[in-house]
Amino acid sequence: MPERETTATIIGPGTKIKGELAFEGSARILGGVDGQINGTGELTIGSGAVCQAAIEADTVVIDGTVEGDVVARQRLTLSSKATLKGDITAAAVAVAEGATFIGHCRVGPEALANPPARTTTTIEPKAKSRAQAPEWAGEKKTTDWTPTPTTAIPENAKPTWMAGLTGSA
Amino acid sequence: MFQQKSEQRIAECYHCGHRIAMSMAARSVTCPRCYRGLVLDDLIVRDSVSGAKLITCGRVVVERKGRAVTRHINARDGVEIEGEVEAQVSSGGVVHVGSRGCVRGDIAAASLVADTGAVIDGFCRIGNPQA
Ligand SMILES: [Zn+2]
Repeated sequence: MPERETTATIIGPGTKIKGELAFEGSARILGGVDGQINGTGELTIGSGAVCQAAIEADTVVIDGTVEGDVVARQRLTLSSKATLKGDITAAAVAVAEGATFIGHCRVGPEALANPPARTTTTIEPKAKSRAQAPEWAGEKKTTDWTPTPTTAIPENAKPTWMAGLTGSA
Repeated sequence: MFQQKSEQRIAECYHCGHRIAMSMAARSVTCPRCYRGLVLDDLIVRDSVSGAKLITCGRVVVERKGRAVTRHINARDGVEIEGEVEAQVSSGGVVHVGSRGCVRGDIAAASLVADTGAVIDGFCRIGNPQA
C-alpha cells in the first residue's frame, strides 16, 4: 500500500478565519472559523475552538463549540466538552455524556443520499463595509429611472442651467 | 446523600425527578414525593407495540424485530434500539441506536450513539443544555 502523505491543516489558537476553509487529509481547528469548512478527511474542532460555520467532512470530531450545520459523510463524534447547535447529517453519530447538542439529527444512508440544501452561515458585515460603493462605481453610476411628470412641463419652465446651453433669451 | 447498601438500587422518579433508594428486588414503587407509581423493570419490545407510552425507571430495549409506535418512550436508565421506533424518546442515560435501528421522532437524552447503518430523523436535545 502506498504510504499516504499526511499533511494536516492546523488553525492555531488565537487565529480566526472568516470565509471558506477547504482541506484535504486532515484539519485541526484550535482557533475559530466563521463561514464554511469543507474537506475530505478528518476534521477536528479542538477544545477551546469556537466555530460559526457550516461544516462538511468525512469524519468530524468536535471537542469545542460549533454553531452551524454539520455533514459528516462517515462519522460525527462529540466529546464530553463539545457544544453543537445546528443540524447534523451523518452516517454515524456518537455524542458523549457531558456534550451538548441541540438540533435536527438525520442519520443513515438515506440522510446522506439526500443531504440538506447547503445552508450558508451569514457573517454579519461590519457597519463600516456596508453599502459603501467604491468611488469608481460612483462615476459610472447610471440611473435608468426617469421620472414621469404628471403634468406637462410648461415651455418657460426650463431649468436655469439650460439657459446657458441653448442661449435663449 | 444516600447510603447505598449493596442490595439497594437508586431510581429517579420520572414524574418529579426525586431519587429513591429501594431494594434490588423491587419491581415497582411509589414515589414518596409525588406519590405516583413507578415502573422499575426494563421494558423489552420484541414485536409490535403501539399506542401506549413506554415509561420506566429502567431501560427500554427495542429488539431487532421490535417496532414501537407510541407517543412517548421515557427510560431513565437508557434506551437501546435495534428495531424500529416512532416516538418521542427521552432518557437520563444513553440512547443507543444500533446498526439496524431506526428512530423517527425527537430525542432528549444525556448522550446519543448511532452506529453506522442506524437511521435517525428527529430533533435532538442531547446533554444538559442551559439555553
Ligand atoms: Zn415523583
